[in-house]
Amino acid sequence: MMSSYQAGLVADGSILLLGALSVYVILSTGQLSLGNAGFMAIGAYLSSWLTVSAGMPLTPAIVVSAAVSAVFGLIIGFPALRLKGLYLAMATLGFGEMVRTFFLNFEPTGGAGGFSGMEHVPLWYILGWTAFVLACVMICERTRWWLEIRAVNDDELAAGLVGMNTTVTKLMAFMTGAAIAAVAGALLAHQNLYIEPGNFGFDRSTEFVLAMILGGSSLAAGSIVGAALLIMLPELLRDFVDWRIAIFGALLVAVLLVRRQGILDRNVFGLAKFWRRAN
Amino acid sequence: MGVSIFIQQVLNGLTLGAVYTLIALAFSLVMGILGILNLAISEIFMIGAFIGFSLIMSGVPVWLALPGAMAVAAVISMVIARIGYEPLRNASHITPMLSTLGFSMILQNFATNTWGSDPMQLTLEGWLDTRFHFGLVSLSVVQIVVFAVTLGLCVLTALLIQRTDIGRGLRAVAENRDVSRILGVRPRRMILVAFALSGLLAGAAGVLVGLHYSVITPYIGVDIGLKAIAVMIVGGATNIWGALLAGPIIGILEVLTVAYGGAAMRDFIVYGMMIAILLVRPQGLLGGSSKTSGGRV
Amino acid sequence: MANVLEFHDVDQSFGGIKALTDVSFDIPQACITGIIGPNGAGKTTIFNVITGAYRPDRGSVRLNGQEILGLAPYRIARAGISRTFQNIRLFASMTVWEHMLLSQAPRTPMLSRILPSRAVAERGERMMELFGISAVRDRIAVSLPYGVQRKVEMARAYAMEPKLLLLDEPVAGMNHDEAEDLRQTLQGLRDKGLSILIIEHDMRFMMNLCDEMHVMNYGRKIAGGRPAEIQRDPAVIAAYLGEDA
Ligand SMILES: Nc1ncnc2c1ncn2[C@@H]1O[C@H](COP(=O)(O)OP(=O)(O)O)[C@@H](O)[C@H]1O
Ligand SMILES: [Mg+2]
Repeated sequence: MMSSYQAGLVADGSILLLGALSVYVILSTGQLSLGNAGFMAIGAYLSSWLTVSAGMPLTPAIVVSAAVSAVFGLIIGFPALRLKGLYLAMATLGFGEMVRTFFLNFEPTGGAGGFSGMEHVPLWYILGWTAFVLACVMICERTRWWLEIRAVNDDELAAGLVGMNTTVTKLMAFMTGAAIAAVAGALLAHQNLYIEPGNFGFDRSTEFVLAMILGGSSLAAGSIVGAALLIMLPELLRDFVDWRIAIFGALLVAVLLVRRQGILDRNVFGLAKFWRRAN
Repeated sequence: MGVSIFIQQVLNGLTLGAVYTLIALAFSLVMGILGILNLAISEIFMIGAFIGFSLIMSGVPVWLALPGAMAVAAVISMVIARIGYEPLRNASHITPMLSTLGFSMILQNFATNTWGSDPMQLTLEGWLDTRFHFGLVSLSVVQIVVFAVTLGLCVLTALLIQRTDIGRGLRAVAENRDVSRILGVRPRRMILVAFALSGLLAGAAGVLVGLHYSVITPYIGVDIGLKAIAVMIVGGATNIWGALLAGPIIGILEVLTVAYGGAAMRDFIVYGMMIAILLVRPQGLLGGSSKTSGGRV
Repeated sequence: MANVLEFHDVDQSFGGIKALTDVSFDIPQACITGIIGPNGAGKTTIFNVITGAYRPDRGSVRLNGQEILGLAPYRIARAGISRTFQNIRLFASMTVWEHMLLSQAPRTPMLSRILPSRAVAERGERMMELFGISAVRDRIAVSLPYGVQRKVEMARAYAMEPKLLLLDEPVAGMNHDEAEDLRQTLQGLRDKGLSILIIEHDMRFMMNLCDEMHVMNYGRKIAGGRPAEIQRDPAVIAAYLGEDA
């Protein structure tokens, strides 16, 4: 039987996985978002307000929050179409910080004092959402729609010239990522039972990016590995627990230097296919 | 009464703006010359503040502590250039940015473990602890030091870039790295120089901010340093001198927001301004025409 | 005979350079039309204008009588014009097979892009067979030799079910036998009703392949007509053939 401590780790890992996936979907079109904690905050605050103040059951509250966050994704995504690479990264960073300071000032959800009153969700509920989202992303990865997403990343101009509406593709990716981050936020709020704007700062956004880059940025399964690694490593390195962040930072640099695509890449599965055919 | 408070606020805003200018200059040196965003600059700034603080508290005079902290910051920055940027310089621009993110995590963790995450307080003594009063408006010696050092460093940087061989090399690399190699510039060397300069400026900004607020935490990198990115964008990321204009503007804007709109609003305004500029005028206030015309097929 | 495409009075300049000056020609239905001319003559620019990558200063481009100038590139592609690139532009992360699937996606509604489709898979197989690349279906396309990459590009373009296929120097990187195979493939497609506009340097190849040809020089069209007529045109001999000979 799992101790409540272990259950907490699994819950944290699941939420981190969702966050990493939210970055992954957007990055698959070649856009790096450093502001997904902002979408997460929207999901966390809105769902908590819906369950606590409006008396809505949790599942519909999560669905509504994800939808609202997707709309924000669209609002952010439109201007983001004009920005590329680092400029987009900086704009999303700014967006994330703006959301955080918005909630810092927004008294109806407690402002700097935070918000509480949520009911605790069982672990299976968190796992259920995570499995559902993960399955959706992994199924999408096998469709022609996902090929369009990758095409935008590989060569946006050529993608347009062979008939793809790259604008719609990028916006959809942004909306999907925003929705997933909101789910992660809602689950976090109902796991921790207390949220404050500081939960959704720049370090949260970078944690998502970190998990995804470490695990592998070319497939959703990479995020599983990355999230597991970030959760497990501090457990394995108890003696160095104070240096956890630095170790992650060093790991990030090392991975980028040695294996830029992250621990897993598409070939891991390509290899499996090759073996099957050879036998 | 109202007017003098306003003037006081503007003076305080200019002080903060001076610090922003230095950090933004540090960001845009690397961005303008090498085209990458070195996220670790905000943490180098923080480390600079702690080194400066520690030196001053152990009795080193300010005029020595400042260059000391700057030197340490420059060395850190050069290490990042060699390990974190050079091997990745042919990757997409996002990759080296992520590696600098790795370094900022290391630096921040180092600071929290070395100096603790509680605020560190510095009591200024002697000539540093003086204020000049002009009616209801006052100006501290520290503020004068901040202005003077910022101005001096900006002038020195300008001279270095415009008048020296190193500056010409930097500008050549900024124009076109391959052509610059033909002209006899050694890009590897210039990369190191750009990072070192950027480290020097960030380190100085750290010491100045420490003196100005006389209290620092390991989180000033995220709280103040990252906002310098907004300053750089507003001024024009590819024009190094945009920071000179945008720094004071944002410093004043921020202080006035705190004074008249509430402390918690200020980041909202600053980042909002950055996003607005990115959308309306991506090249920034001082940038030339944007070169984002469609690629050649 | 009806024209698929009418390219009329087009001027295109880049800063000071005039890449196209008053260029006009028609592309008849179910024909192979060639464009020849020395390097820098403006041939690729014509493709870029047709596909919407460039906005010309002046002129009109009509597909089956409908003006397409000013439409977004993806709309022009969906309207039935697909192309290959002189500097090959395949998607770096994708296998040959993925290119075949992808190129069929844009013209189908969103939902059917998520569902697997037998028709799409079958068409993909046929495209690979047609251009002789079935053997490399699971290879990353950009890792293949140039000649093969060109075939992948053509298969990708043709998989989009175009009305008009634009090929920019497709024979570059192919040996004689491959070029000959390609000629037969293209003529077979034409006989089934496809209209093709092709840029190529190899005169002999073009003479055997094309039903009509246009000659470009310094951004102007200097001649147009049947290959046999072109071969005898003094202006062409001076500008192009003479240079080669
Ligand atoms: N995007 C562009 N920007 C500037 N000049 C261009 C551009 N595209 C083409 N040109 C110029 O237009 C002229 C014609 O080029 P192009 O059409 O590529 O010639 P080619 O006949 O060899 O295909 C050349 O002088 C080329 O430099
Ligand atoms: Mg050409």
